Amino acid sequence: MRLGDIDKRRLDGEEGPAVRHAMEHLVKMGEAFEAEEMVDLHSCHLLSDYRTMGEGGLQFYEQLVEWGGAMLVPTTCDPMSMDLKNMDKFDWPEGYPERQTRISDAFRELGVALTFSCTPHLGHNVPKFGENLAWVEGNATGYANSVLGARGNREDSITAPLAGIAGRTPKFGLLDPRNRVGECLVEIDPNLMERLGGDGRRCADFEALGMIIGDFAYDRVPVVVGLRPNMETEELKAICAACSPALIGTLMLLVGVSPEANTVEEAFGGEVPRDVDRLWVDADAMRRAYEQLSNTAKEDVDVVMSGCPFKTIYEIQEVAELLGDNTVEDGVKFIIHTDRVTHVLAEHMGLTDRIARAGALLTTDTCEYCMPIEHMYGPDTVIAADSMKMRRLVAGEGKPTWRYGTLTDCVNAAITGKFRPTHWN
Amino acid sequence: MNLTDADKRKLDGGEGRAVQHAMEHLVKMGEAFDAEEMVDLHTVHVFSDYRTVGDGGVNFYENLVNMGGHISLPSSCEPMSMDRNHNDQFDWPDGYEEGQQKIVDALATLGVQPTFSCTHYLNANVPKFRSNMAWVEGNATGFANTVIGARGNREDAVTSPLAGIARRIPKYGMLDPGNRVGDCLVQIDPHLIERIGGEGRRTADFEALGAVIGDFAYDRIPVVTGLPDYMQNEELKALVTACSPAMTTTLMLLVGISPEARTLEEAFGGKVPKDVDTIRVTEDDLREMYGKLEQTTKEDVDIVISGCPFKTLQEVQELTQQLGARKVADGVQFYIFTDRITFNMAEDMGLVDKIEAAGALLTTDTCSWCMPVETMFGPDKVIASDSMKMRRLLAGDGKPTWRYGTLTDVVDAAVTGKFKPRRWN
Amino acid sequence: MSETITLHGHSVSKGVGEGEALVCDKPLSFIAVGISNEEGIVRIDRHPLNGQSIVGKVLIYDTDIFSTGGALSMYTKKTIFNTAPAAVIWRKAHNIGAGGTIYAGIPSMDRIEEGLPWDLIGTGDWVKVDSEQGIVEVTKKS
Repeated sequence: MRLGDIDKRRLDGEEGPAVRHAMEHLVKMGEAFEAEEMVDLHSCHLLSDYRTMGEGGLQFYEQLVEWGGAMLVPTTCDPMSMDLKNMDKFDWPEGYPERQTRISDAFRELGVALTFSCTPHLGHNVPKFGENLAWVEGNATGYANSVLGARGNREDSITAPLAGIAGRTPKFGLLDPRNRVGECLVEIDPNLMERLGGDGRRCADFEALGMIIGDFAYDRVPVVVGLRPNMETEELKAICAACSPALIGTLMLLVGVSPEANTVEEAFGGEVPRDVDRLWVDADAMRRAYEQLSNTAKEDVDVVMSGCPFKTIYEIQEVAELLGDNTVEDGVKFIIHTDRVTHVLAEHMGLTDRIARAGALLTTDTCEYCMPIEHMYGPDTVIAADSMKMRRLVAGEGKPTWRYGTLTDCVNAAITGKFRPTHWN
Repeated sequence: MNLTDADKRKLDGGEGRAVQHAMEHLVKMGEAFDAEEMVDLHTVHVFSDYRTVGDGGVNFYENLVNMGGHISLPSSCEPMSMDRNHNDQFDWPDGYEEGQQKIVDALATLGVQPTFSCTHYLNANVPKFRSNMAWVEGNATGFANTVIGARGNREDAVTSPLAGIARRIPKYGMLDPGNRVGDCLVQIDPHLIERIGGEGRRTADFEALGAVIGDFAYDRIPVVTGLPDYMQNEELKALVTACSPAMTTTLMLLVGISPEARTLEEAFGGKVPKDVDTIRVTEDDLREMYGKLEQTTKEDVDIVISGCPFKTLQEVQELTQQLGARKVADGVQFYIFTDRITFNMAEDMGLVDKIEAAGALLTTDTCSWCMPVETMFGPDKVIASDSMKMRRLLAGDGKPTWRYGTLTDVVDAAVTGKFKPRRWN
Repeated sequence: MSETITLHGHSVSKGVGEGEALVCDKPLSFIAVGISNEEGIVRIDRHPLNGQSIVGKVLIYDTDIFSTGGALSMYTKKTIFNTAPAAVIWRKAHNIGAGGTIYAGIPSMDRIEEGLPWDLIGTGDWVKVDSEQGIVEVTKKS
């Protein structure tokens, strides 16, 4: 890998031990991925939750602080393992909040904006066309690459902060424009497109669609045709949630939506390869996806969750409207996740109160993925959710079982205690 | 203008009186600008401040409410004429608070997100490539068109909410892709680029550069070459602030930055016209612009203002670093403007405490442009500011006199009471 | 005498490590919610390795899926709980697995020249990964 003078200076320790340490790692990463050079970094988004990083992660961040590390680019952070506004509503293991607080303290020292959000692309760290990112968080990098035309891999939780401290990152994967070209083709049936989404169904439908696209494309860049032009932000956010639980890469070239895919030909870098691997997605595929996402047939639910990725203000409004004057069934927990930024608006709009009056809880800063879920819910717990991502990430031995359905179905489950799917049947 | 069946139904009152009222106006607007058709609208940003809209504006909004109007698109609103967090710090004229409250209430009923921000595109209403917008606010439409590639005119305060209610807008100006082509060329001298911006100078420098570009382009679309490959959000925000105080249009094609200007040729829609009107911007132009923005040579300042457009979290951070442990001089008022979302973040990060401890005030929801500045400050006051936009909009008979300088210069002025400009001298 | 074969591949994280192979042809994630940090046991719904321990194994899987947090989860497994694998071999490295193994000092390789790793190595085989040299020695389970 060719290093610039500035890279060499940083590697030699002229900008302090934190920068040197970061550069040493970045050089190894660059070599492993055969990067030819480093590029300037423009934006960073870091992992925050103690549940995932554990003691090692905490030590990692504190060590960076001790070495005088500081983020050289605008930096935000992912959700954490607690909700400071609702500490009494959850049963945290001993020592958890203290350790999570130490991570926040380290972030303050490093100059990280304490957003604790998985949707930084919709507020507080909005990337631009052509910008170089070192971001963790699949749905965010998915949206940033696919919808905004920014450039970044689904960066790992170690490389992201180190790149931010060095202000540089090796140019490989999606940071290299040559790799931003379609490798397979997904065609959405127009009859399906007409039926997809709408109030109460948007998130579940488009997350399921994202999963279908992602499972097919897997480690390739999919070109998707047949979407409506000018898709809603919430629809695109849901599709991009597939980047991590299904698609391991993080660019979908959505023809008519992505700035780099004005036409299907442009998406393939000139012309569509004749023998391109194709997938046709119709209503049957959707039905199968919904089925696949439930891992129990039990009707009685203990927990209902929505807001993965975090809910936008409009999605919170949608929940409040679906709840109406109903209240959540005794014994059922209905948890809705958003970030503190959106929570401010929700409070100003009276939505937080409406949701609380119905007996549901609008959390901030956290979600089931970041919480110690085994400690909080046993394997007998049945969770209904409209998030494919949460369902795929938080399932397995010792963990709760899941039912998958639309927001309408989930809200009804919260009100009645019974999950009765009504969509795509 | 060709109206679709759906448009005609709306015009005939098939979707209620408010939609009909809105369509009647939109048809007149479309005809006035020779639009051939209407297009779907995707996002709305409307006026809020009582100072500007007055009782006519109150009646306008309340009338829309009475007609059953509702904006069911992603929306946000401009700063208002009050900071309810700091009401005791300002002397509002009689009847002001009541007038403002009526607007706040009407906007809530209409379904507008209570952002009260001029930089909603960075945190609460982020448009996408090709989104059709009906937005007021020059810096916001400038950023959205120029940096994101969304489409919208600098919409007027009447048409914007009406388009939001009708969900349609006549396709003219920047909404028509055929018009998104350069009319003139601005070449930035490389020596200037080397020296422009940086900590403490970013806003003033790039707002001044924007004014140079905007004064030249005026009602044309400038294509700008010679900018760095990458510019920070804060630099771009400052640059596009020229859309309103200098440029009457709202798209700058920044070669290498704007998604529609990947090359110089693309920016001109194919090839560069031979006789294109061209200017070269050098350090001298910036020096001259700084000079032109000064109205007085008085050193003693009464008021210091920063945060037009509203400060980002990074800028609030920069300001606290510039202040350090210093205190604002007795008799000087130092106002820093931001929105409630950013304020909330700044509070979490301990920045609000630092600013208050220094004797400065970080406001929310408002700025000196939205305030009744004549009654609050009067013509004898000297204001130092790093905002070209505020300086141009708020000067004239009966209004305060202005000094223009960098953030470093204005922070020093706040601390010492003396404005001593050092930039470009 | 068991059969020993030598494979060649591309080094991602340099070092030498050996252990019993744990093999699948599916993607996997090191995130705590998928493989517990404390025990190193896979707990991922419908995953072929669900319920199995990765501790001290030479772990062979397709590439990394799920959260980017996998890198710090791997670091915690290695430095705090000693529940990390001895080495990792992928068909194709994802930067999540690469970042984690490089930083935690776990040898890792991808792109085995002789074929797909799960066709060449079976669960229970003894595997020595020498990513300094770019070679893998496999002693087949007898």
